[in-house]
Amino acid sequence: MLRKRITQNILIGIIIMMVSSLMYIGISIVSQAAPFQEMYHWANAAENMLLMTKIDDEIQRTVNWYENRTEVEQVISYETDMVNIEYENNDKSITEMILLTQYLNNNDVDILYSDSKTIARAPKGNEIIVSHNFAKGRNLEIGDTLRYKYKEQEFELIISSIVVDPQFSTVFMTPSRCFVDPDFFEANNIVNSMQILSVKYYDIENIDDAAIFAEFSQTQSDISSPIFIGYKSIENSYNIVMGIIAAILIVVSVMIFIIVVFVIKNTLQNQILNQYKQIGVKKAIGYTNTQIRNSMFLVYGMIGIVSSILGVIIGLPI
Amino acid sequence: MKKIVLEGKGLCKTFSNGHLAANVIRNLDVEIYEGDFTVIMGTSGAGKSTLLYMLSGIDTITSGEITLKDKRIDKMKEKEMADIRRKDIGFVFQEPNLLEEFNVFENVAMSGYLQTKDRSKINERCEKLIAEVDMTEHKEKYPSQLSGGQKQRVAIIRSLINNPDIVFADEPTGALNAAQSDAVFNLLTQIHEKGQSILMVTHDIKAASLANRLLYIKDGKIDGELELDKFETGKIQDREKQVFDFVMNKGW
Repeated sequence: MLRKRITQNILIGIIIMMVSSLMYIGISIVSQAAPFQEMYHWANAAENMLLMTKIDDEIQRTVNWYENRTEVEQVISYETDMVNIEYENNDKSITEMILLTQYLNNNDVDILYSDSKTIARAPKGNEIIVSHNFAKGRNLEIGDTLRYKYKEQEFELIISSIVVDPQFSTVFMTPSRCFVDPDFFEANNIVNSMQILSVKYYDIENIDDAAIFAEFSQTQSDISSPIFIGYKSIENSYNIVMGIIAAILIVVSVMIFIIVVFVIKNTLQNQILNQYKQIGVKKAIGYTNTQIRNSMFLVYGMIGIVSSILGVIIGLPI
Repeated sequence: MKKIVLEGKGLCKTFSNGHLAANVIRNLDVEIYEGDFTVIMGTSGAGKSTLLYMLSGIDTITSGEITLKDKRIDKMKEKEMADIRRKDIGFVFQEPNLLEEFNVFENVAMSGYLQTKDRSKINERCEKLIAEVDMTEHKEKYPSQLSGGQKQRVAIIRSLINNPDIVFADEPTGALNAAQSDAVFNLLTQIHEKGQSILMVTHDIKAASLANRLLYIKDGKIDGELELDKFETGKIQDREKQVFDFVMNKGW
C-alpha cells in the first residue's frame, strides 16, 4: 500500500517537473522576445552624445572628427529646440517647456515603438509625436493640439502618434521630448538653439569615453562649449534599470513556477484519487500495475506535452 | 468424489489499527468444488465478504494457504496475480463497476484483449455472451445509458469472457430491485448449469436458494454447511424454506 503511494507520488512528481519545466522554458522565451531586445540593442549602440550650440561650422567639424575615427560607425545630428507649448487639459490652458526634436529615421531601424493602442508612424508637416509617459500624465490623445509660438508665427502641432521614446536613452528619454517632421525647422525658418549629436560606436563595451573626449578637446580646442555625455557615465543607471527589470522577471517567473507546481500537483492528485475505484476494477479484471501506470502516463503525459506546446505558442506573440 | 477447484487452509485475517486488532477470519478451512454454485451467508460483520476477497486474491491474507487449481495464489507476485485475475478468476461486485470510457462490447472484451493478441476469437465469444443475455442491441451503448440490471448482467458476462475456473460474486443483487434481481438470478443459474463454478456472498434468501451448497459463517469460522439438491424451477419455494430454516437455526 505504501509502495503504491510512493510510486504514485513519483509519477505525479515526474509529470509536474515535465510540465512546469516546459512552461518555464515557455516563460523565458516569451520574456526575451522582441521587440524589447531590439530596442535595448539599438539604445546601447546610440548612446554617446554631444550637446552643443548651433554654429554650423562647429557641428560640421565635430561630425567630421568623429566620422574619421575607426571605432565610430555613424554620427547623426538632430536639430533640437527648447520651446514653450500650450495645450488644454481639463478645460485649463497649460504652458509647458518641451524639447522639440527632429525625427530622423536613422540606424536602419524604421520602427517606432508605439504604445499598445496605436500604430506609430513618422511625423509629417505639422504633426508631432509624443512619448507615452508625456501623453498619459497630461491626458493627451492622438488628434489633440499643442500650440507653439515662435516670434510672430503660431503653430498648431497635432499629435499623430504616441510612442515609447525611440531614442531610449536614460539621459534623453525625458517624457517631454517630442518629435517633429525633419523639415519642420527649416520649412518654418526656425533658428534652433542647439544640436544634439549622437555617436554610434561599433563596440560600445570597449570604448574609453574619457580618453576620446580628452583627445577631442585637445585637437578641437577652438570649439565653443561642447557638453559631453559618454556611455560609461550613464552605464550605472542603465544597469540599475536593467537589473530591476531582470529581478522582477525572475521573481515573477519563480512565483508562477511555484504556483503552477502546486496547482498541477493538486489537480493531478485529485484526478487520480477520483479514479481510485476505476483503478481497483481494472486490477480486478486483470490489468497489471504496469499497464495502469502506463495508461496514466500516456494520458497525463499527452495532456502535459500538448498544453505546454499550446502555452508556448499562445504566449509567443505577447 | 467432486474435484476441488479452490481451497483455503488455516486462513486468518487481522485488521489492525494502532493498538486495536480485529481477528475477522480465524483459522478457517474451506473447500470449493468444481461445478458447484456455492453461497456464503452469515450475519453482518461475520467476515463473509472478507473471506471472498481473500479467496479471490483481491485482499491479502494474514496467514494460511490458498490454492486455486494446484497453484498457490497467496504468495504470488503482483504480476503473476494479475495474470491469475485475468485468466482464472471472474469477479462480480455489488455495483456493476463497468469502465465508463468503454462501451458494453469493449467492457466485456477488455480482459480478453489483455490476455491474448488474437482478438477475433475474443470478439466471437463476446458476441455470443452478449447474445445470451439479450444485450445485442445495446452492445454499442455506454454504461451510463444502461439500467442497473443491464449493467449487472454485463458485469457478469464480463467475468466469464476468459472461461475462468471460478466466478466470485459479492452480493451481485444488492443494489438492484426485484425484477432486475430476477434477471441476474436467471443468468447465474444458467451459467451454473453450464458447469461454471460460482462462489457468491449474499444476504438474500432467494439468491441463496439458487445454490447447491451453502456455507454459514459465524465469528470468522464456518459454522455449518447445507447441501441442496439440483435446482428445479418449480421447487423454488421449498428451497427457500429449506435455506431459511437452516440460517434461522444458525442464528441469522
